[in-house]
Amino acid sequence: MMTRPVLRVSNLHVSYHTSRGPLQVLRGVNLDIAAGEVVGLVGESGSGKSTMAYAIVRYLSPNAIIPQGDMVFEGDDLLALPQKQLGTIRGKRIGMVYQDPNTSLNPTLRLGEQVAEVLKRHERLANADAWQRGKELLTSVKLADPEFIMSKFPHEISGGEKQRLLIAMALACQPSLLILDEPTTALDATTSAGILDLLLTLQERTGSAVLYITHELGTISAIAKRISVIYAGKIIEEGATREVLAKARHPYTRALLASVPNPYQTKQGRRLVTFAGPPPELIDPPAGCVFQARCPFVREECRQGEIEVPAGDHKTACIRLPEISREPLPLPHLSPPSLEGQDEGLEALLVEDLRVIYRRPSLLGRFRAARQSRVYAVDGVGFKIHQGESLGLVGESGCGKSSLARALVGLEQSTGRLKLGGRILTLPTGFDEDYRKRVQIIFQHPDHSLNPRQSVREIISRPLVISGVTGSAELGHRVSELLEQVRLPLGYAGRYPHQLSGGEKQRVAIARAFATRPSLVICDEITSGLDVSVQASIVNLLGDLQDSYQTAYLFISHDLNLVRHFADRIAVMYLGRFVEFGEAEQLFNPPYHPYTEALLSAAPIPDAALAGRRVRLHGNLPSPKSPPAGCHFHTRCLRKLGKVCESDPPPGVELGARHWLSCHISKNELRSFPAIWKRVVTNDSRSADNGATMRDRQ
Amino acid sequence: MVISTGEFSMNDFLRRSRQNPQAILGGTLLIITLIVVAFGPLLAPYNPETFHGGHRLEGPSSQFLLGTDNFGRDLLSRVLYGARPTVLFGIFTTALGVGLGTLIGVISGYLGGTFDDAVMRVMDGLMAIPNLLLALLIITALGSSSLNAGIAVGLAFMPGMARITRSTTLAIRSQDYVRAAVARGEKRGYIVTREVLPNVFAPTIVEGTIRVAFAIMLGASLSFLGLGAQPPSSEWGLMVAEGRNYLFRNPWIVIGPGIAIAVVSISFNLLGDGLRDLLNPKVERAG
Repeated sequence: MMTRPVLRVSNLHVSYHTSRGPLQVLRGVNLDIAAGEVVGLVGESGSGKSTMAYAIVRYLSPNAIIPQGDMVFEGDDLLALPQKQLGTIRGKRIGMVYQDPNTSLNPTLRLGEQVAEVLKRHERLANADAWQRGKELLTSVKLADPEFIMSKFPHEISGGEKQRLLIAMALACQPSLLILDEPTTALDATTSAGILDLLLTLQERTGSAVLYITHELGTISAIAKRISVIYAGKIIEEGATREVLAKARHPYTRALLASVPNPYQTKQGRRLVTFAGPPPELIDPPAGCVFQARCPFVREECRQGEIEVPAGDHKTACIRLPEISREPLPLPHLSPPSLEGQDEGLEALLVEDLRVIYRRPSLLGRFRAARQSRVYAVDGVGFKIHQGESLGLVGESGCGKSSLARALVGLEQSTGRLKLGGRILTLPTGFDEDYRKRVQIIFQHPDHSLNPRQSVREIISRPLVISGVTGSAELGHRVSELLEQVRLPLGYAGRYPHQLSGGEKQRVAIARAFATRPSLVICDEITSGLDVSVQASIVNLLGDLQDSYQTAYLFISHDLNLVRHFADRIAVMYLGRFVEFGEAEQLFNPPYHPYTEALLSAAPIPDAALAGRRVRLHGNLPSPKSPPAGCHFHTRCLRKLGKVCESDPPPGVELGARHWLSCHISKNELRSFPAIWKRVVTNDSRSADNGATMRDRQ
Repeated sequence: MVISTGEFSMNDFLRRSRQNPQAILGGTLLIITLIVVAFGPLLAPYNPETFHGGHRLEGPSSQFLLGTDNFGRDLLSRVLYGARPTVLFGIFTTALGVGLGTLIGVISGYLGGTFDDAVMRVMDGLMAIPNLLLALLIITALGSSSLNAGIAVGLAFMPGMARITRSTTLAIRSQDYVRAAVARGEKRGYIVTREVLPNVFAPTIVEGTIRVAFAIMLGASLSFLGLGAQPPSSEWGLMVAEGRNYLFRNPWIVIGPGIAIAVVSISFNLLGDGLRDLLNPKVERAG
């Protein structure tokens, strides 16, 4: 930290001009990045973190203004540079990688041309040299067979490969600063773990400074040495990563850490901390602390003047320190865990031998496919869900978990048998009114699942109408009741979806699903588009509803930590089949399936007291249209035994009454795997203050 | 064209329409047009069919503001009277074409499969024939009159509208709210009318508005060819057709109705462009 900073941002303000007045997105941000340093910038959506990324390269939208501030990059005043010179800085001296690799590449150009273009533009290389150098770059980001990849178009390679290529392009001119804006958010956990490893090795080798922007505390704890926490356009806490994670001081940082599900705290252990109160106002921000509206420790003095940030290595913008540092965060109301449904309760749904057939879309495709053998997105899956139980389902994207969810509500072409309330339904037909009433689904994106032209009242009352509720008085009463249950104000009934926030929309979708008092609700990645703090409140809400109605959940997510927090039992899915099935506690300690092992390792946990062992999968998920013979997982398995894995389908291994997995490896050997996450005993166990108390961990 | 499946609210709409000069200009011109359509005959200084014997083919004067035609009829009065048949023709034919096209497009798009394939190939076949030619064919079969010309132009517009609404429907059909409706066991009729149609509405309105201008010009072309309105109607296209022989002796005979056609067409076009931006809520938020 003694070295001169590569980038020094001081007192930066950025506002967007809107019809309601200037939206003050950044208000006096200070940020130093030293040469070769990795700095993390953490914040939720709307905190201004992406604006920061664009402001540094002066690539803001036309309605943005920078009323004051200083940005000095390697001695150049970025705010004073003319546009022409900025062109030589962007891409050459500052590299950037954005969130979604699918939209960052030109779909009509071969990848090789796109990589070479960067080198021709900035390094003035001749065509042949640029291609040669491009190949070296792709090798450096560990892309196998660079020549092959360079001859491909973007849609022909996977998301992870695209992101590696984009990193290669960003590093092409050896920039002294690399800005990464949520580079792994759009990727699967296993893929993003690989990208993080790559970034760490590349960073060590090239010595570029890195500004890593994300909302995921887990990722940032794995990569950044220092982090700055941004909230409503102000840095509210800054310091060394370990220090901030272990001894977070600002109430916001503490609440944020406590809202992240930690696999060592299960459903019964505790609830997630949530934020009360409205999000910060950015048009006409109030004086004083930015977090005042939601802070449990707020006092009159927090609402006045500017909050001074004392100098030091661990800076915090809170005037109530240190007095509040020992006070615990208030946890949301904890209802007593219900005892019913814990053991073999009544069964809510039994699924037997469910198969989902791949859809054949086009006219021509139908002719061609007639000659092919059938391909299954879900290939013979069976399970049982009990009343009041949550069954978690995890797997990478493309493993068939969403197909499974949709098949259970009759949205996919499928075969198999379902047993609900003593009646047996045989697919593909067989979904009757009673079944549809008792099995409901909530989709991932509330933006897509709520009709933008229907009011909340219309949306929620429709399932009631279908199930025979008539009379506007009765309907109105039930709608109010449902809104109350999902903790939305009754006045929201007249609103339209676009007038609600993401979390509120998802609550409306939950209310709609619960309208018919279903016995099973399928949650298909319902929190993956939401901020962690909002996610925490949705998960708590689902828990409360389960306690009241003994509803069973099929909870689908790619986030293993979240599933472990929420579910009683967990199924791990790979290429259309379950590879492991067991109770939530069992799944996190050996014995586990080699795939589960890799999934566990890929999900970073923002907890300084836990140390993870690194297990990384190589290669992409094989196409479900031609799954590998034998064990589907053998192409990527790190514990492959040999020929037997390639030829024979793995046997089911019973590891206890309620723990099953499918693998050739013997029971004893499975038991001997070392655990992925280990508690590191530190002298200071004050991480307990983050609202997550140590005794909850097993 | 931009297909918006976005949300809509009246307040937002009014607030943003104030910031959209195109829509304001188009809207103002349109209001003037509609006033003329409604009250044109009251505003006209003369009967459009009265011959003023001594004033044939005169230029503008204080007595005849736009001059007179070869029979000595007052051109201003004729243009004012002609607004009604011309503009109503445009609106009627568009409504016919958009209505039929939307119906076919939404049903075909929602049902999909073989039905969709069959209907869309027929529509593609119709689209291969230029609008004017198709309208001429239909009039040949039906006989020439204003009503038949309207039906012909409406039918000529149908395939294009069907294509547009079908593609919008396909996008909406794969939305989760339609899936949610299917999952809770909604009937097809409800899904088409309550889930799909309201979302197809905005892009259809925009496209329809732009087509009114085309319809007016197409109707004028047909009248010009003698296949639409018949004399002594003062439909603008017919006025241009009748006046073209006297173009060199008195250009005003063509300028008046010509400008009227242009202004009305432009006003609908501007309005359509403006509506496209206004009905797409994402436009402002991005900027």
